Amino acid sequence: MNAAQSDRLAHRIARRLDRGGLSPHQARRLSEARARALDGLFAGGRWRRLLDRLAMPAVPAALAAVLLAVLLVAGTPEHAPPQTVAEAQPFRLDYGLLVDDLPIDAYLDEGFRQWLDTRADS
Amino acid sequence: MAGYARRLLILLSALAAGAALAQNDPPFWRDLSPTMQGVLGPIEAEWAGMDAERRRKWIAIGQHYDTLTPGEQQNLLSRMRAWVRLSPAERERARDRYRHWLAIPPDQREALRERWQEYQNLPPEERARIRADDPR
Repeated sequence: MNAAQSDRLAHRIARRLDRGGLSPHQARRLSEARARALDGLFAGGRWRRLLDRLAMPAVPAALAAVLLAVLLVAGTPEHAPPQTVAEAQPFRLDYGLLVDDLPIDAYLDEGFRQWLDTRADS
Repeated sequence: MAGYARRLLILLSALAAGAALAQNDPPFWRDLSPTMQGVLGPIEAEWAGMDAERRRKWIAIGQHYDTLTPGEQQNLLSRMRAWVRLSPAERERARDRYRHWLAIPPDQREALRERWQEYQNLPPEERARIRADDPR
């Protein structure tokens, strides 16, 4: 059916509908067809075709998103390792504890503290 | 429309997963130079469980390794593993006492070192008795 034939058929249908006198069954079927046409306009029509053109396949898009997020988060300066000990000031105490003459046990051994107190009292 | 909602959900999940992955405490052990891996070797097994802040601390310490005396290097290597295995509360207690230690005059610090040696020379059972008497 070409465009001219479609137009003539549409006019004939319109005139028939204008005369009225449809049975309830005909009215219901027309209503259902109208609802289907509207659904198609929004769900399967031009919007869907536009989204199809814009959207990438889901898996490559997801991989690209992961890569982008990794680069954004890991590339920020606060995630770069410090270059010198001076940049790690909060950890200088740990550094001192680890290299000092007095071993870490000396700070944690409660018996040593008790023993020192006893000697100080005597 | 359900297909697009699903696709959007996948993209958002991927973004979240990527962000979480990036925050999974870089740098990774494999990213360290062979020299740094050698210095930090005693704590390699614990590396995976550390957060980014602790890893950066250890890298900073490792970068300073060459400036240490041989004795200090030995101290560092022998204490690393024990240090990372302490509980956070124990590490904090040690730091707190070390701060006090830094504040006392050098001659008293030297005396304290000698006291530690004397204490270490006590019989183990004597040290155990002292610890048992500790009111803490």
